[in-house]
Amino acid sequence: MGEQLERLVWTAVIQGDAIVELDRLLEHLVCAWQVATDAACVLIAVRSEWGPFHRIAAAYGNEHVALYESRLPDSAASDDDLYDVLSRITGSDVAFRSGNTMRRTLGTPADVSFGMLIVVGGDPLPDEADRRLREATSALLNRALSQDRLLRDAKLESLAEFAAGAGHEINNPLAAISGRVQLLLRGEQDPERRRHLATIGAQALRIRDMIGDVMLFARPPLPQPQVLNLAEVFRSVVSKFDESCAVRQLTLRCDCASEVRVWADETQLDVVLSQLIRNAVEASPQGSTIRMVASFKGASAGEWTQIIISDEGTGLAKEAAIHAFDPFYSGRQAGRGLGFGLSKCWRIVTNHGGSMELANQPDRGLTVLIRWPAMEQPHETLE
Amino acid sequence: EYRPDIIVLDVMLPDINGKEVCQRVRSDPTMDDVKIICISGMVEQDKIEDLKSSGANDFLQKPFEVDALLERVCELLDMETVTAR
Repeated sequence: MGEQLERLVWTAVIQGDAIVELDRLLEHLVCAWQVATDAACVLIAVRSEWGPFHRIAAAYGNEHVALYESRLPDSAASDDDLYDVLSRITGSDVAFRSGNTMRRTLGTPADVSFGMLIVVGGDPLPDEADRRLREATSALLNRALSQDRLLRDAKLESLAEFAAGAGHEINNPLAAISGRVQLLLRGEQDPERRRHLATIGAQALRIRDMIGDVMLFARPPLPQPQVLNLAEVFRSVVSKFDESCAVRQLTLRCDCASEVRVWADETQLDVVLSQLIRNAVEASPQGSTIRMVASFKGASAGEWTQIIISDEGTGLAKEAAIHAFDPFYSGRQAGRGLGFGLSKCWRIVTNHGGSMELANQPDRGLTVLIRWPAMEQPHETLE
Repeated sequence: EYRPDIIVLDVMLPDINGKEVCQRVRSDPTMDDVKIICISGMVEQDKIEDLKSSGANDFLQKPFEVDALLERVCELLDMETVTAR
């Protein structure tokens, strides 16, 4: 066992230099852990949905990798609590864990979407082997995370350059289309032709907005945050949807106490809430209800504000839900499907130090959960 | 010779750009009251802010609805809003 583990640890460290993609790294780690610890099952617990974990779980099959996602009770406030809760849920004696080291090393909750990698079953490792495997794992994950971030930053900058070029090259011809359609509409009396002309004009504006969303995602303006009364912001945003809700007989229900506040750039907060409500309105069947709920959360009262927006629509397809925030997902077929709306919201929320998750119930609706700072956050540094 | 109340100004122009036009207008004290609304297909927020720092009062992204332009013009001129229809 000792020699085998030593070989695996060094193999992992060496191979780590060649590993660029996080999901390949995770596959390697899962395999290494299983062999090293003779584990029956590797349990991956994630704090937020993340595509690579799903792909690995699918690739290995349920008997070897169990994927447990993040909807844990609020009482699981610390890593030890999380560990105990998972033990109870799986009914196993969790023999080994290294999640604590990885999470502390990898940074703040706001910018790390990893959860914990916990081995379920098997015998405990000797202390020295435990220490070396933890160090190798942390080093590998740090390296992969840095490379992944560099790659992502490069993609974002390319996307921003594309949007800037497209903005001018595409929006000007669109202006010609839109302008002439509006001129034609003035003289057109036939209802059917008016409808067609209006559609052409609306689609031109839609393309404009999609390009704007790409830019907002790729290169969002630096937020200028201030303390905002969320109830007032809700009222202002909701009023923009009075007409569209009336047409579709939708009820837009807000539940936000007058003292709830957020630390946010007012314009960007409006963009996020407007986009999410727009999505909910478009997804909602006639006569249904859209709910917006906001409350203080956090270890100390007033630390975070939780915003929940839910609809009673059809929800998202499973694959779409997993990759909802990722505009680079190849399965999305760029430009189709969800567009950049959710990606743009996710980017704004995370830029403010918050987080955003989806709770998807196919055929029963989609719930968006946002955690937004309620006050100015101290700048956190990596260990 | 002719002093407008408002200038609707495209940004990407053949021999000069909209930013420079804004700067020239603003450097003329007799044009202090003239409003400038820039129109462009550009999407870069920093360039839009740059236009406003150079003297533009407002910005409207292309393509736009005529009524949106009229609304902005009326706002800047403190007039009752008119529509194209």
